[in-house]
Amino acid sequence: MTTRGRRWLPFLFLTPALALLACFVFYPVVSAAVTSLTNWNGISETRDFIGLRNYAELLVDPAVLRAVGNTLLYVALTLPASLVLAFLAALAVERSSIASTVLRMAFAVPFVISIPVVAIVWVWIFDPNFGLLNYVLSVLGLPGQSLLTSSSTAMLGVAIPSVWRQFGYFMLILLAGMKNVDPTYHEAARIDGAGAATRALRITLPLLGPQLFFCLVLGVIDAFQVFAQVDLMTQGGPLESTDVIVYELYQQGFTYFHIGYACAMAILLMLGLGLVTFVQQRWLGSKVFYQ
Amino acid sequence: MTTTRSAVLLDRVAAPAMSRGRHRTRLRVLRTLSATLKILAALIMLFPIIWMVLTALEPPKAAVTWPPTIIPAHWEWQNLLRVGRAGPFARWYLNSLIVAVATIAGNLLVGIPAAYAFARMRFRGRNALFLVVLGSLMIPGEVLLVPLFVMLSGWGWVDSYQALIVPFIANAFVIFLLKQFFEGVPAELEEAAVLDGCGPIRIMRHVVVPLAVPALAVSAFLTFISSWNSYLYPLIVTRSESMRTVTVGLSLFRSENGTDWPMLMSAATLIALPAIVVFLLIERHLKNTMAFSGMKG
Repeated sequence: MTTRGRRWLPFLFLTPALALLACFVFYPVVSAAVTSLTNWNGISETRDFIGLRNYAELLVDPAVLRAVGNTLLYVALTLPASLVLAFLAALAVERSSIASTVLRMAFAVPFVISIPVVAIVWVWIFDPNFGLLNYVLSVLGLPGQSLLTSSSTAMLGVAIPSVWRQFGYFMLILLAGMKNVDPTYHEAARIDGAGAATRALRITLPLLGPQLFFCLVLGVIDAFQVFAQVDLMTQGGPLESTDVIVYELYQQGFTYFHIGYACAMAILLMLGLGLVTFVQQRWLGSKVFYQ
Repeated sequence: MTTTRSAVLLDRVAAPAMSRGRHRTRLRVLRTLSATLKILAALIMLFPIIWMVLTALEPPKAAVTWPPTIIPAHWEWQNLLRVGRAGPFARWYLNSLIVAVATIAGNLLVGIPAAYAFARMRFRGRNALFLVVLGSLMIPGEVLLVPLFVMLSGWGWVDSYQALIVPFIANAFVIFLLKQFFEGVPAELEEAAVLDGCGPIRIMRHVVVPLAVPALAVSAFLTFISSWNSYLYPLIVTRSESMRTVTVGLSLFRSENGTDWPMLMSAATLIALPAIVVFLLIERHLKNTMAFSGMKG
């Protein structure tokens, strides 16, 4: 091969990937940013440049503010629970044995099931008339529930399946971190008389800082993008109590065709997620203990 | 927490005063206990999936009884066929399969050369270009929805396989994963190939790619899961019933057969099945890569 051919070869190798990314990722982002400055409705030929008016409206739009609040509630209901369960699950399956392998698989497998499937299975479990949950409650002598039809509990109903599906994935991340914990720490602590619970809390937990932090960042990003659960379980209701950011964005863009407005929401979501990630990196990242 | 508790007990067991025989018996009892608890926990964790399958195989009327039928009196395998015949479910399934397979093929075809260039070739702007590729991971998919839809409508791509496949062919994460793997391939192997007169393309095809089969399998798995499970995007870029994917179809099914739970659970089971099977096959290869994948549903 000639030198000249070699010089061009890398670009030949890279062109398909870069061209596709440019066309289907970078161009659309720029396009979204530009459209967010217009009042386009998706149908009309003309679009007026209205500057930052969409953004100004967004920040005081009660529907949007409610969606942000609902999303934060979803984060609060899912993320701490997922992290705690993931840590406990990782401790439970850490040692290698057949039972541990089975349990590890059981924890991890829900994560590969698509969210619409998970959502619909849990709608059936929560069914107020014939659902499994109410049967279990009645056996225990507790009153039945109707989680998804009450505006005060619907978000909990959306959160439970999410936690069930998510924490096994976090567990896998934590397990990868546990492999790197130097066993001599545990041995030293054991010789000093520390029990298993103490060692889990005082040695394993702090040394898992980076992995827990990674789960936290991933979890926040995922939670802000929640959509399918809401669409299948509650359609944002009852009384908009589960109307989250992406659901609101979807409605603005594809039900009301407020294209410019939806683009502004999308751009704000992107900036918001970027900011959250950055703050987490800066603030928490510096406090995480790296081995 | 079973490990923790048994480990606490094990510490006590290890007390030197204990005789050897008793020690061993107690150890065995504890192991059995811990294993039993773990299997029990696994069953509880999997119960929603088990419940889905049990309902899927119930006669339609048995689902709406109180108390719920846990184990169906007879297994209604017909339900699975009923789903296949109900509306375009079989077509949706086929659509999702076509899209997933084509996306995987595209991912590898585009990703392998790109990753190889980043891992092994020297050229100006390499690091900057790699950062650009990684930068695409920072952009949430929702931002792209509206502009992609507008763009694809303009091209007349709405309601087509292209719309479901082409935008996902270049995947920065796959490129990243493969690059990491290619960098781990010993350079000596490639040097030997160079001495034998191989050019870069042959080295990539005959030396590096065969060694990378596990990484390729993991990439294919991750692509399969995200393609098979995606929901919001196909919901937006498909219109006609025959172009829906299986996840969107499930949602339509639900609005049409709202209370036919055995039918809905049969559909759900059929959708979950390939993902679970593929996961069980590949789980042992995932340990290291999955942790950094940021795989999403």
